Amino acid sequence: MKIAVLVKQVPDPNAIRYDRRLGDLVPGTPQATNEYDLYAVEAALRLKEQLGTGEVVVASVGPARETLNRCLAMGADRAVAIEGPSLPGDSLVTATVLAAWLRREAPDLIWAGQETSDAGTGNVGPQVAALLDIPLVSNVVGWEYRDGVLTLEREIEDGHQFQQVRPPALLCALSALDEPRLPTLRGIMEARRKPSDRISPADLGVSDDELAPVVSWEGLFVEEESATGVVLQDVDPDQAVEQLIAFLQERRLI
Amino acid sequence: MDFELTPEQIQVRDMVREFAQREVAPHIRDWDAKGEYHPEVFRKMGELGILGLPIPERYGGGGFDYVSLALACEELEAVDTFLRVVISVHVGLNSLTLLQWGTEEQKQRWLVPQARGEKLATFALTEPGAGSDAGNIQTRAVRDGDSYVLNGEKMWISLANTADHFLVFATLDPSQKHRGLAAFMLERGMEGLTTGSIHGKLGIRAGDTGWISMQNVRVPAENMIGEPGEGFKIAMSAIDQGRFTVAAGACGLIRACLEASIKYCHERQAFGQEIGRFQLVQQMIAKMVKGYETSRLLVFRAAELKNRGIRNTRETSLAKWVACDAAFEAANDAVQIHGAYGFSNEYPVERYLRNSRGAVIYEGTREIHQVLQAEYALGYRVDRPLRCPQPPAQAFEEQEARA
Repeated sequence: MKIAVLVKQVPDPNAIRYDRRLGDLVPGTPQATNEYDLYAVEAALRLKEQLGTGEVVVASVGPARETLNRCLAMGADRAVAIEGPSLPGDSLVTATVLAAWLRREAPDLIWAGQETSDAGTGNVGPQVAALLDIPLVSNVVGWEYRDGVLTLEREIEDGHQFQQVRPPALLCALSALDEPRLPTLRGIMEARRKPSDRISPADLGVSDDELAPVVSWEGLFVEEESATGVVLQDVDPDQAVEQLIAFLQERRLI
Repeated sequence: MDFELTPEQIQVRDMVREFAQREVAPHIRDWDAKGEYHPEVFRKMGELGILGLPIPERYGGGGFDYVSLALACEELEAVDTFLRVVISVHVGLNSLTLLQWGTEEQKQRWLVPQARGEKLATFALTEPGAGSDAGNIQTRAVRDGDSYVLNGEKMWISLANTADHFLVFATLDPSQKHRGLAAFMLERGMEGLTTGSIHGKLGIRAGDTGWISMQNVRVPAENMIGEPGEGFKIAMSAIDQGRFTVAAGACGLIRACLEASIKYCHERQAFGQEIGRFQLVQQMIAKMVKGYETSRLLVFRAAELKNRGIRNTRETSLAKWVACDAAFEAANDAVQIHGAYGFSNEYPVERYLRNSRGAVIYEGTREIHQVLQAEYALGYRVDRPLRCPQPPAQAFEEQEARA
């Protein structure tokens, strides 16, 4: 089975600092692999391991050398970086470029992260599925593959839902899936010898018109936070204790 | 000079950082407070390949260079010193010494399983009555047929209770002092070999530090590393590697102090502003930055020499002295910046201070390094070629082979 995984390099959520004067992130903010995407890669690798054969190809739109290297070191077989001056654009541009690449690759299954930690639209997976006209299963927290059918566990608002789908399909991963493996040193060494391509939208036959964004960014700002307290008055002491404990637990202070 | 890390070096750094953050950081305060030792962490390090990082692939290692080794040590000690200590003894003092001095048969027998992380190894030179004065060790090795019989005690041995393999130094002739030493590989389970723990340590409380006792331990002659009388040279070249990992780890400890202090400087208010605004606090932050950057440059210079297989005793000693002193100062200042909170284990800086102190003593005391540097400068000390020079890193070996 050929499995494609869509990944993105994002500003490291643990190292983000905002520059008010620039109205943007501090230049040189460290980059990281989008967390959900790592769960998607892990799921793809496990499926390949279960089948004992196949290929895992990772692709990214926009600069993502470190992220693609990491995926190769985790065990992916091949990496493709799709780069161009107009990339990354909005989510539809990204999805259009990815769909063009996926039409060429014709994978049996596509994994993606549910959303990215930078833009956070959660659009790309569904848009790609729509453009390719294949089934989409989002919010995936568990999977099982048997006899050509995937049984998927989805997280929904008030519980979990199970769906079955026969590939090809696009699956969006959440972090309740198996924890992504760390690359081993052997994996890092082997990744150097694996194929890694860099292509442009033009190579995929994507026209300039298709690369024109429909969404424009006005800027980045940080919402002012004001501290709010909770005052418990005229409450039974036992209840007050329970409420205080709940308050602290909610904020992960205890 | 190229100050850019390669993509592989970045990947090694990031992987080791994630491992330490994921597996150890959430627990270390508790482990340290209880003095708990968790050897299962080493199994995971072995699975990831960290325990064989600079060993060539043909001996089961990762084949990475010494800059990568330094980055790994930095990331490990940024979380806790006990993690870096494992690299110092297993990789630096033992495995790299086998790589340099061992016969092909000895490498296949001990180095390969060590590099794969299947066996843990340590180094036993220090004794209750001999630390810096290594030529004066009292452990005796007496030839008896096709084996040697070892008797003696070793002290302050990291991984004493965990290691499977021990690189032990003993004297064949005490009257010969350092010229009478020999090195032997001992294995756990040999009759007469016992180990125990040392408790009540100031720092590295999550680590295994102990003693080794040898009572009539019969060691086959083929377990001798190098030749009779070569033990001191082997020990010193081992220490060149161990010191390097200690220096690189110290950079991680300084960085941890700096990061904790910067965070606290932004959080803590005094006299109506964050304490980072006060110049005397800034002075301490600036000293940490200076210590981190200068130490790192010295470590990377030593790494480059090691990569090329060039003798680096002087440069490694300088890196170790500067980095460990800077780490101790950084930890001391980090406690000061944290004020009374720095005095409790609510914050990690008191652990950093306790952990930083040992490295000013082990792997050459601060005083030994000052003497070394002065003697080099004065021309009293010259490094002569070794029978078995330190081999270059795998990538540089390959480069040389191509040239």
